[in-house]
Amino acid sequence: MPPEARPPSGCPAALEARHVSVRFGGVQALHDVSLEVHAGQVTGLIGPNGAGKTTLFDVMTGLHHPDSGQVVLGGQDVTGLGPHRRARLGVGRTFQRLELFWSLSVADNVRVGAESRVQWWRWDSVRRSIRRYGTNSAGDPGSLAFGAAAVNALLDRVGLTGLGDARTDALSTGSARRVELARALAIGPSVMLLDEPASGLDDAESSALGGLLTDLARDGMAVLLVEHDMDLLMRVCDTVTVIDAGTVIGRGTTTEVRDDPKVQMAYLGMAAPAGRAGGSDR
Amino acid sequence: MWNFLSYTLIGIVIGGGLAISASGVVVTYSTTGVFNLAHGAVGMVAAFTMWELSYNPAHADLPVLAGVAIVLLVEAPIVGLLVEALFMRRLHGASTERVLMVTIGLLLVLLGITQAVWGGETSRVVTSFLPGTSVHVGPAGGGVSITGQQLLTLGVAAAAAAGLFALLRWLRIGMAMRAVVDDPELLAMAGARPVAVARMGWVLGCFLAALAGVLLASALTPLQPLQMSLLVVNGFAAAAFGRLRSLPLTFLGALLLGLLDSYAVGYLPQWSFLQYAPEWLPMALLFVVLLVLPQDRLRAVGRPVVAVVPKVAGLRASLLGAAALVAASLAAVAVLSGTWLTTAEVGVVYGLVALSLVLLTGYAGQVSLAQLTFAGVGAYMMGRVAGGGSWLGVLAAVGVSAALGAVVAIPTLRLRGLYLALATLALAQVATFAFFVPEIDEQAPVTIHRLGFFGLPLDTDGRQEVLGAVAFALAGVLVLAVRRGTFGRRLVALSDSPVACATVGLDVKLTRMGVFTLSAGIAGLAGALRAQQVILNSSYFDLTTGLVLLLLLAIWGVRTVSGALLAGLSLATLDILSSHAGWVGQIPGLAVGAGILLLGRAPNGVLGLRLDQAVARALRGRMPSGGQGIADAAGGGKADAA
Repeated sequence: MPPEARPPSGCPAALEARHVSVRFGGVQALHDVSLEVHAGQVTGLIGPNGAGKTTLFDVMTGLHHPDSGQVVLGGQDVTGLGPHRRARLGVGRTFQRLELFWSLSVADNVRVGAESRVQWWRWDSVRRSIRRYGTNSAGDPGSLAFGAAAVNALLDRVGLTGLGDARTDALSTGSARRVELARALAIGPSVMLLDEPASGLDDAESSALGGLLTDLARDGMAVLLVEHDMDLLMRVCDTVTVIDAGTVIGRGTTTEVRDDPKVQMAYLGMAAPAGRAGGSDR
Repeated sequence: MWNFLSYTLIGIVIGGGLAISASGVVVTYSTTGVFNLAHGAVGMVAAFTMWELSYNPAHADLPVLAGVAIVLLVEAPIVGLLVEALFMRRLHGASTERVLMVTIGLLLVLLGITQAVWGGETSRVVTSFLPGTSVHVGPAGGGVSITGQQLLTLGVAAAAAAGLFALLRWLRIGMAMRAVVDDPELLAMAGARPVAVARMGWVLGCFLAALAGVLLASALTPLQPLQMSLLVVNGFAAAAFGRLRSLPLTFLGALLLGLLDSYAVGYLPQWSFLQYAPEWLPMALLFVVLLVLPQDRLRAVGRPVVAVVPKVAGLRASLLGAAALVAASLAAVAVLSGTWLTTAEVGVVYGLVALSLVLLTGYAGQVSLAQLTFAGVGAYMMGRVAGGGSWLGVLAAVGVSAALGAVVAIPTLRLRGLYLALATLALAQVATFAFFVPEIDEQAPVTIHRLGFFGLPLDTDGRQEVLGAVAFALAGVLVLAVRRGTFGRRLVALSDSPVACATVGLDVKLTRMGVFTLSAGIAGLAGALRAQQVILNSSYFDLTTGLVLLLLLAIWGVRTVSGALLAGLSLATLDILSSHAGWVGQIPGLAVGAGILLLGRAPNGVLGLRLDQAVARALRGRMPSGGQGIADAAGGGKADAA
C-alpha cells in the first residue's frame, strides 16, 4: 500500500500537517510527515514508542515549531501561530502524560478551558457566553460567564457526573484523563487531538470513551487519536496512519492497515501472526 | 598602556575568585538540582572560622596554613553534609520555588549564626597569606604590580579548574555526578547511589565556597557577613553564562565578568549611578545573559507531587476577615504604644508587599525577588509627586510601579522558575545600586507629609497603623476576589501547567503580564505607605529584606492572605527582636531555621498545617498583649481567609 494512496474523502482537511520535519539535535524525530484529519471522522495515529506521535501532536498544536513543513487549519496556514492562537481557532488536545491544573477542582479545570473563549473586552462575546451557558449558580460568584450548568453538562458527557467539586489530584488516572478531555471540549474545538486517552482506563471506561469519540465525530468534529489499545482503534477509527521512526509507513482503513505486513513488522512486532486482530467488529 | 594592563590583570584576578565561587554553585546545581543562594554564606562562614582560628588577636595560636586546612578539609565538608542531610534530601521532586526558599532560609540561618558568634563591633582583619610578596613588571613608578595573594588566587582558580575537570572526566563518582540530575532512579539502577552523589555535590560545592571565601578574605577585610554572603551573587552571572551547567563556560564567564568589573572601575566616569557600576554591572549582565540564553522550551511536566491546596475564602468570609483586621488595628492603637505600635504599623505595610507576592508567587507560581523594588519605586514616587505625601502621590506610586511591573514582565516572559528568580534578583540589585542608592541615599532626605483623610490628618503612628490595616484589608479582599474569579483560576492554571494553559487557548504571556502588573501595583501602594513612616533609605527595599520577607511568607503559607499579614508582622517583629542583646536577639535566626525545616515537609507553610484554626481558637479568649499577640489575633481573624 503506497503511503499517499487514500485521501480519506473529497472535502478539505480540518487540520493538516504537510511534509513536516523535526530534528532534535542529531535525532530526526519526524521526517516529511503528512497527515490529514477530516471533520466527521476519527483518524488513528499509531506507531511504536518513540515513533514521533507526540512530537507530531506538538507540531500540530503549536507547542513545537517544525524545522520544515506546514500546519494548515481549515485551509489557513497556522504554522507560525502559537498554541493558544490555534486553540482559539478550534484545536483541542489532551496529553499522554497528564497535564491537569492539579490545584484546581475538576469543575474549575473545565472552566479555565471554557473561559479562554470569552473575549472580555467585547460585551457581545461576554453576553453570548452568558446566554449560551446559562446563568450562574448562586454559590459561585466568580464564574461570570461559564455557569455550573454548562460545566456539569460537559462532565456528564465524559462520564464524570457529580465530580465537579472533587480535587483533581485525588482522581484515578482514568478519571483525570476524562477531566482533560472535558477541559479540551470546553474550548469548543472543531479538531480534537487525543494522546493515548484510553491508557489507564478499564474495559468499561474504554468502551464508553469509544462511544464518546464516535459521537463527537458524528457531531462533525475531526478527531485524531493516538492509542495503543488496538480494539478501541479498530472500533472507532475511520482511517489509520502508521508512523515509525518519524516516517509514515502506511495509511488506510483499519482493515487495510491491520493487514499490511509492513505495519505488522514495524508496529506489532515480528512475532505477531497475520490474523491476530481478525476478530474486529468492523 | 600600563594602566590598561594593570586593570586587565586586576580583572583576571577578580575573575579567578569569581570562578572558584561560581564553579561551586554550578557543581552543586548540576549534581543536586539545587541552586544554592546560600553559597556565598558558606564561604563567609569559612572566612570567619579562619579568622577565629588564625587571626583572632585574643588567641591567635594556629598557623594560617593549619587554620585554612581545618576550614577547607574539616569544616566545609561537614557543612556540606549537614546541609544535605538536614535540608536538601527531603526536597527531591519539590517545586523550584520551595527549593529556592529553603536555600534563602539557609542563607539567613548562616548569617544569623555568624552574627550570633561573631557579632558586635569588633573589626575582624585578615591579612594576606603572602604578605609583602609581589611581582612587578615594567618601569618603576609605572608598570604593573601583582601581589602574592593575587597570584595565589589565580593559581588556585587554575588548579580548581583542572581538578574539577579531572574529577568529572575520569573518576567514577564524577561521571555519576554528571548523570545524577538527569535521572537519579536510572542511576540507582545502574549501581550508583544517588544519595552518595548528592552528598558529594554538596561537599564539593561547600569546599569551593569555602576556598573562595578564604582566598578573598584578605581583600574584603575587615570581614562583614552580609557583604561576603552576597559577593557570590556576582558569580551567578558567570554561572548563568555556563547555563548553570557548563564549567568551562562558567570559568570563561567569570573571567569576562572580572575584566568588565575592573574596566568599569578604571574607566567609567564617577558620577551619578555610574559610580556604582562595579556593584550593579555584573547584575545587569546576569539579567541580559538570562534573557539571551536559550530557555527550556514550554513542555509537558506531567503529574507532580501536589500538596493539598488551601481552600479559598468566599466573599463573605473575606469581608469578615477584613473587618476583623481593621477592628484589631483599632484595638492595637488602644493597647499598644511605642515600639510595639511602630512594629504593627510597619508590619501591615510589609504585609501588603507580601500580599502582592501571594498573587504572584502563591497563585501564579512566579518567584520574584524584586517585589520590594517595586515598593521602593512607589515610595520614591510618593516623595516626588505633588510636593510629597499626597493622595496624588499614592496614585502615582501605584500607577508607576504597576507600569514598571508590566515593563519588567515583558523581557522576562520567557523565563520561568529558577531563571525568573535569578533575573528578578539581578533586577533588585541593579535597582538598588543604580537607582535607590544614588537617588535616595545620596540626596538630601525628602520630608514626606503624612496623608490626611477628609480633613482628618493621619499624622500619628496609630492612625498610620490603621491606614495600613485598611489598605491591607481592601487589598486582601481584592486579591481573594481575583483568586475566585476567572483571572485567579488562570493564574493557578498557569502555575500548574503553562503548556496546558496554552493548549486551551490561554495567552500565557498576557496572563503573566497581568499578574506582574497587578502585584507590582500593590507593592507600589505599600511603598507609598512606607514612605510616610520613615526617612527613606535604600536598605528598606534591598534584596536581603526582600528575601527575608519572601521566606517568611513561604513559612506562613505562600498561598494565603493571612499568611501575608503574618509574614509582614513577623518581619517587623524580627527586626525588633534582632536588635536585642542576648538570647532574645537569637530568636529570629532560630525561628527562621525552624521555619525552613518545616518548609521541607509542609509546602503550604504553617497555615497549611491546619494549625490556624487551633491558634484562632486558643487566642479567642485572650486579649492581645503585645505586637506578636496582635499579629496572631489579626491572623486568627483572617484565618478563614487562608
